[in-house]
Amino acid sequence: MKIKGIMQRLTGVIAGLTLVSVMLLATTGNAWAEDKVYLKDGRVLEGEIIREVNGSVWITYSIGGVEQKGAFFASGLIDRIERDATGDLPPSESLQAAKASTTKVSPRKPGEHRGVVITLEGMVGMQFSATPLEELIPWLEEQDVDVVVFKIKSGGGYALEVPILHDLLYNEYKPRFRTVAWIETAISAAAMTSHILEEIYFMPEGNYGACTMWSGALQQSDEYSTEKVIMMMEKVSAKANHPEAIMRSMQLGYPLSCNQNQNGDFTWYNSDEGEFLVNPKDRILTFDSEQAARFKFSKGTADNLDELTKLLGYPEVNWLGEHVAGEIFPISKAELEMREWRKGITTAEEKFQTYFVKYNMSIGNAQSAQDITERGMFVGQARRHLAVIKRAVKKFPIFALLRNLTPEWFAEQQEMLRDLMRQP
Amino acid sequence: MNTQLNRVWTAAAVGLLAVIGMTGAAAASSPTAAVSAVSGVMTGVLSGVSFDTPDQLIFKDGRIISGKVLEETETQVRFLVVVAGISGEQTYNKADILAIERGEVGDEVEATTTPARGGVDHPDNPIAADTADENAPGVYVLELTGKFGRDIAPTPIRNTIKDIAKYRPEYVIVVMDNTWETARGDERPDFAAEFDQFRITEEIEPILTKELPEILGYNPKVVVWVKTAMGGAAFLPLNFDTVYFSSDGKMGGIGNLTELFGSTGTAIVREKQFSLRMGRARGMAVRGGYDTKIVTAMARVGYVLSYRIERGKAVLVEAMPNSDLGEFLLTDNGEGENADSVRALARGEGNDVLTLDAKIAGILGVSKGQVDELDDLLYELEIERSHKVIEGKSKRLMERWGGELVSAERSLRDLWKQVGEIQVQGEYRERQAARARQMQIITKIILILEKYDEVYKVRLLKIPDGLPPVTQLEIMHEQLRQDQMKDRP
Repeated sequence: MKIKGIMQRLTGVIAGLTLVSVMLLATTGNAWAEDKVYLKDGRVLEGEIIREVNGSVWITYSIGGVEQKGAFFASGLIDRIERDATGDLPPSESLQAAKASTTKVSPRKPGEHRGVVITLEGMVGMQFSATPLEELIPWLEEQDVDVVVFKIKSGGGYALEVPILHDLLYNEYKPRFRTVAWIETAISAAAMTSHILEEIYFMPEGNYGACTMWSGALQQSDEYSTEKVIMMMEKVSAKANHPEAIMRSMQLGYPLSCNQNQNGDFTWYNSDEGEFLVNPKDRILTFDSEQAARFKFSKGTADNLDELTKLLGYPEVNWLGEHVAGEIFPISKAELEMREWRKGITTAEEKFQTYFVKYNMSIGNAQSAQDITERGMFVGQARRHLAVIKRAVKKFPIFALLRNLTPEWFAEQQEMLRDLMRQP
Repeated sequence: MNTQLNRVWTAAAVGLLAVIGMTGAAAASSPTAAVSAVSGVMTGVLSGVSFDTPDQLIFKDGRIISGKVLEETETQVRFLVVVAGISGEQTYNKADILAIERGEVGDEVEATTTPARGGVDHPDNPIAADTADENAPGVYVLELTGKFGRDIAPTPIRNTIKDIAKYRPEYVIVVMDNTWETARGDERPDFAAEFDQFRITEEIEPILTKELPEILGYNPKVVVWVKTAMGGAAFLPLNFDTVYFSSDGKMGGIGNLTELFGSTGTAIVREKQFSLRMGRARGMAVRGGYDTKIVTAMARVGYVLSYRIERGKAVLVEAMPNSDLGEFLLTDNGEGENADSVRALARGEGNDVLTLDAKIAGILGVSKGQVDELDDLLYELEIERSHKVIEGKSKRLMERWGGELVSAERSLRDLWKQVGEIQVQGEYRERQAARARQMQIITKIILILEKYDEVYKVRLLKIPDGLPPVTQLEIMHEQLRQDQMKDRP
C-alpha cells in the first residue's frame, strides 16, 4: 500500500473519532501500560516495562496475542525507550537515591530554618497543577519544613485551575508553611495563581502580569466570564494585601498610576491621576523586576538562593535536597516529585490524541472483522488502549475535564466492546 | 551503611550460630565474630538468613540474585546469596554483572577533585599546563555563528559548557555573529524582524547564566562581543553586563512585535500578547543592567524615544527630542509621515524601531567599546599582558552539530522517499515484510525528528515535502501494525 493511501485512511480514522459506536465482551480491568522499547535491530516492543536497570529492561509484551512476561533486553540491544506517561514506572536509580536521601527527618538543630524550593512550570492546569502540590504536603510536614518557595516559570494556562490553586495555597499551604513565590516568569494564569501569596520575590529577569482572559483566535472572553474573574481577583488581592488596581490593569486595559507618601507607601489609581504612571491606558500591565521592586509589589529581587535567604530575613536556611550540577537550588524529594509529574503529564498530553486514534482504529478493525477470533484480537487491543486512556484520566484528571471523559463515557465504551463480542 | 552492615552481619551470624547450636549475645553482636561465622558458610547452605532490604546482583543475561554484598573489589563481588531463605556465599565476576542494587542507600560520598581555576590542573589542557604564568586568567572563546535556532541552539551550547567547565576559565568570551538571511540564503535587511525568536534565547541564556556557574562553582566573567546579533540573537547580549561591539556590529531585527498577530482577535488580547512578550524581553534587559526603554524601542513600533547626554551618560526620554536640551531622536511614532520611507530603510536609517550599531550602542551604554580583534578585546578587559587563551573544543562541537543537522536532513529525505516507494503487495510474507520495513523506517524518522526537536520545532530543520508531524507518523505506524494483524495468508 502506498503511503498516500495510509494517509487518506488515517484522515478518515481521525475524522471518525467521535463517531464510534461498537461493542465488546466483558473484560477484566487490564492494567496495561504502553511503553515502547525500540531495539537496534528495528523491532519495537510495546508493553509494560516492569523493571529497568542501567538502561536494560524487563518488559511484558505480546506477539500476535501471546504474552511474553518479563522478557529481558540488555541495554546494548536497545536504541531508545519511550515511556507511557500513565503507567507507574519503576523510578530511576538516581530518583530512588534522591528520595531515600531525604526521607528521614533529622532532629532540628537550635535556630535551624528548613526550606524547600519547588518549581511550578508549564501550563497552569496541566504541568502546573494543584494535584501534585496537594500530595506534597504530608512530606513537607514530615520534614518539618518552615519555608516553601515556589519558583514560578509559566506562561499561563487554564483559568479553571486558578481558584483550585488559590484554595490549596491559601488554606493548606499558608497555615502550615511560610509560602512565597519566586518569579522567573508568571504570565496570565500563573500570575493570577501567585497573586494569592503576600510574599512575592522576583528574579532579575522576572516578569509578572498580562492576565487578560481569552480563547480561540485571540478572542477576549465574554463579559460575564471576564467579570467573574475580575471579582475573583479582587477578593484574592484583598486576601494577599495587593492593591486591586494592579491586577485590574493586568487584566484589562486600565491605566495605572500611583502616589507615594512620606512613609514610602503607595496609593493606587486606575487612572492617570497619580504622580507615577505605571501603565498607560489601553495597555496590559506586565511588571518587570525593577518595577515590581520600585512600587513595592515584590518584596525584593534575588538572583540566587543566598540572596533569597537574605531577603527572607534568615541568616541561614537549611534548604533540603541534593546539590546537582547545573541546578541553582538543592533538589528535594518534593521537587523530584514535581518534575516527575510534569514529565508524565507532558508525555500524556503529547500522546493523548494518539491513544484515541489507536483505540478507534482497533474498534474499526474489530467491527469489520468477519472472523470471531480476529475480532477478539482487535477488541482485546481496543480494551488495552481504553485502559491506557482510563489510566491517563485517572492520573491526570484534567484530561477528563477537557475532553468530557466521564465515568459514563467509559462505561458506554465497555458496553460497546462487550456487545461487539456478542455478535456472531 | 555501617549500621546496615552490622545488622546484616548480625543477622548472618545469628543464622549461622543457630544452625551450629551456638547462641550468645557476645558472638551475635560482634562484627568480627559475624564475619568469621559468615566466612565459615562459604560452601554450606544455611537457613534463617533474612534481610529487610536485600541487595541484588543483576546480571547481563537478565538473572537477578538477592542477598547481601559482602565484599566488592574492582573485578569481583563476594555475595551472600539468599534463595527461598537459604543462603550461601558466592563470588562473581563483575564483568558478568549489569548492576549492583543496594538494599539501602549508603552515605558514601563520591570523591571529587576540583581543578584550580584557569585550567592549570586539567590534564587535557596543554596550553594551561605549559603556560609560563600559571596565575594568568584563562580566556575561553565561544563563537556563535550560523543561523540562530539552528546552528546556535541549546544542545551544542550545552555540550560546549561542559568543555568550558574542564578548563575553568575566568573569562568566557561569547562572539555573537549569527547569519541574518532569508530561507533562500539572501541577506535580510535590518528592518526584517523575528521578535518571537526570543524563546530560543530563553532556552540558551540560562545555560550561560545559571548552568555554567553552577557547574563551575563560581561566576566566570561572560563577555559578549557583538558582530551580528539580529533577530532572536539580539536578546542574548542583553542578559550580560559586559558587551562590546565590532565596528560594523549590529543588534536588532526584533521590531515586528506589534505586527505578529496582524488584525487577528480583539485588540486587548493582542495587547496582552505584546505585553507578556515585552515583559520577558525587558526582564532580560534588567538582568544585564540595561534600561528597559532600549529594548522597548527595539521591539515596538510607535514607541517614541530620545536621549541626551548628562555627565557623560545617556538619559533616555520617552518623547520627541527637545533641541534646546540637546536631545536626539532614537525612534519616532512611525505614523504618517514619520513612517520609515523605503529610501531610509534601504540605507539602514529607519527610526520606527531601534537597531543598535556600534556607535549608538556605545552612546546608550549597551556597548563598552568597539573592538575588531581579540587582542583589542583583551586589552579592553585589561588582561592583554597576562592571560591564556584556552584552545577548547567549542568550534569543533558547534561544527559537529551543524554537520549532524545536515546529515539528519539527508536521512529524512532518503527515508521518507523510501517509505513512499515501498509497495505492500504480493504473497503474504512479502506484504508482511513490506509493512515491517515501512514501520522500521517510520520509527527511524520519528527518532531523528525527536533528536533534533529543538531545531524542528522552530522550523529550521529542512524536512522533505509531505512529511507529517511526529504524532501523525505514530498513527501511521499504528495503522501499519494493525494492517499486519488483519492480513492473513
